Amino acid sequence: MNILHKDTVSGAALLALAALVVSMSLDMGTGAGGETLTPSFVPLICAAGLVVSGAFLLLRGLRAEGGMPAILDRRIAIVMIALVFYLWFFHAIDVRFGVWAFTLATMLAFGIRAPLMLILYPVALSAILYLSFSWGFRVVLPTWI
Amino acid sequence: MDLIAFSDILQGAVQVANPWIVFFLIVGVVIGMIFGAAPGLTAPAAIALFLPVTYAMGPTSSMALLMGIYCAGYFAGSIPAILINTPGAPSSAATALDGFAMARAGEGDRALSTAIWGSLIGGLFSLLLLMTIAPLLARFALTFTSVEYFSFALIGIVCVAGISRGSLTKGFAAALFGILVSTVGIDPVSGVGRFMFGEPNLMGGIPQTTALIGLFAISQMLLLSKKDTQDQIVLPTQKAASQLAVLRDLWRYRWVTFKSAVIGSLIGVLPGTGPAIASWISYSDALRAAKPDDKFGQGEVKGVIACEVSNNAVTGGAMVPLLTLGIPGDPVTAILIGALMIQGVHVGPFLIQQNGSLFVSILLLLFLSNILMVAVGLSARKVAAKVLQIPPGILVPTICMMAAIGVFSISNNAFDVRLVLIFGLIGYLMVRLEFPTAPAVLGIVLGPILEKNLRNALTVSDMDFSVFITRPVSAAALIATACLLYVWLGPRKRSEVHPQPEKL
Repeated sequence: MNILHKDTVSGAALLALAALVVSMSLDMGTGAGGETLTPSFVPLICAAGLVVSGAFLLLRGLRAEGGMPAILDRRIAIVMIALVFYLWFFHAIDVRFGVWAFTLATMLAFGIRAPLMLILYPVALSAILYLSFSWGFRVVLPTWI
Repeated sequence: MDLIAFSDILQGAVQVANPWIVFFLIVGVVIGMIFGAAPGLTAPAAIALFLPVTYAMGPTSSMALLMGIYCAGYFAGSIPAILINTPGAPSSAATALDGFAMARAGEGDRALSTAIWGSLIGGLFSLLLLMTIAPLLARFALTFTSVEYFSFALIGIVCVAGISRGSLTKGFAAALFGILVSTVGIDPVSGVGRFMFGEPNLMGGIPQTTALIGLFAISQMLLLSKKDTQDQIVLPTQKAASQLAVLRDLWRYRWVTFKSAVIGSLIGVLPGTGPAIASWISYSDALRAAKPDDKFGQGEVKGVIACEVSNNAVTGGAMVPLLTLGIPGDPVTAILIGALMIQGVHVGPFLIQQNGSLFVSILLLLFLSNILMVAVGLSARKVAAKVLQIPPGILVPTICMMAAIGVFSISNNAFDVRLVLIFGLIGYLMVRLEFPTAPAVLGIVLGPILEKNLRNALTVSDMDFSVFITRPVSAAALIATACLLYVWLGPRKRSEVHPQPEKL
């Protein structure tokens, strides 16, 4: 019983997703389109497929050898945290500052230590992206000033 | 062509010969190359972004700019697909399977050159189709009902089986996940909200471009951030390819080339489809006809030929229903309707009769776009290869920030940026758990087509499911689906025992 095999975890995740889809689909109602398929028809078909594939993967994983691949390491954790924070609060952060800070943090996480590179590249990327999108494509990007 | 007067042909040629038109065409090709090649930016996004610019231009010059973006954008998606395993557009996802494997074997230049010449052949073939049998094809497509469209979409989904080299089960699950994603939002038939979690921004559904950028660009950048080299792109020195040898390859595999051009053109004609479906179906067809010593998925040049010929063959094919019926054949031609309306040109059955010179101009512009695409593509491919030399510490923040701002710029909605993040994380987890992401993409694209046509077909036939086998074209499509499943399930059983991890 290998409960930590990647297929076991994948299968369990698919079964959980299928359960969520079924529970939400059953509460959907039929709406105005009574003469045709209900809005929950396709989601329920998908959920049935997910149950079959999830159960197959779960059983295969339980009988298999090996474990889960490492999902995170230190560097990817830093990049992921920075990305999650910036993109989640994208609307509230000045895009020029956000791009600069994210770029700098990522470059440091990747071990780039050349001072000139660390100073110039984040500023240059921030300026190029801001100018090309706000001036070139006339997109109103989030800014503080 | 009997609908067009000789004076229209002359007038159309004179309009295209204008230096400004040629200038806009070149600008369009360059923009298309940049947007197509940049992971996260797509040809439809470029056309949508540049649509407002055409307000100040005439019909021919606006078409020159947009046709240039259209043709070059569809090809250029293959550049990052081959070089960094990140398709610039969904239509290039299939190209990545063999193109990136070729780059890993030091044959990236050969793969790129094959993609360029293959795209030219596909583009010119479909243009020939547009010129000659456009009205006939359009009339044939007009006889299709929702029953046929559902069956065609089902073939597209079944193609997932052919492309999920690692595990059929995981490919199947990924496709179902993609279809589920496509059901989020207000159901257009019943008005019922589905899987919205109380979020009003999800009423309109999950934008396809946003989901695709997340699944491809962001997840790929997260993979690049990993410390171990297993998932990182470390390519050997790339050998320079002889263009003559590439053309010889295309001649040697002329049957694959021809079939892919036909598939791409015909898929393009079908409204609501697009290059993504065309390239997958062509790839699957090439896979089906594979010889024992072919190494599909491991750097087979026939894989690149099949995908690239067919996805550019869509360009001319998709223009057929647009220019003859006013129905877009793919997302880009849907945007092109808006561009023509801006100019006071109404697309439909009378377009050729009333705007004969414009029709001729569009044909010539498509031809020139394809030629320019080769010129720019061949000269810029060395520069494109420099992408490989960019350190991940530079590439990761650049692509992530371009994708985030690019997504924001499409709808000016910060919620889409959150969505791109969520799909990026999902894509990353999928790859780590060895789920292919390409079937999910196919599910997202085909999901709405499947559901809408299934509903329409059943409504019209009083919920009689037998309609799918009583209509001959649909029955043939379903038989083809069954055959594809039969062919793929055999080798699949063996590969399930030793699943091969894959990136897409």
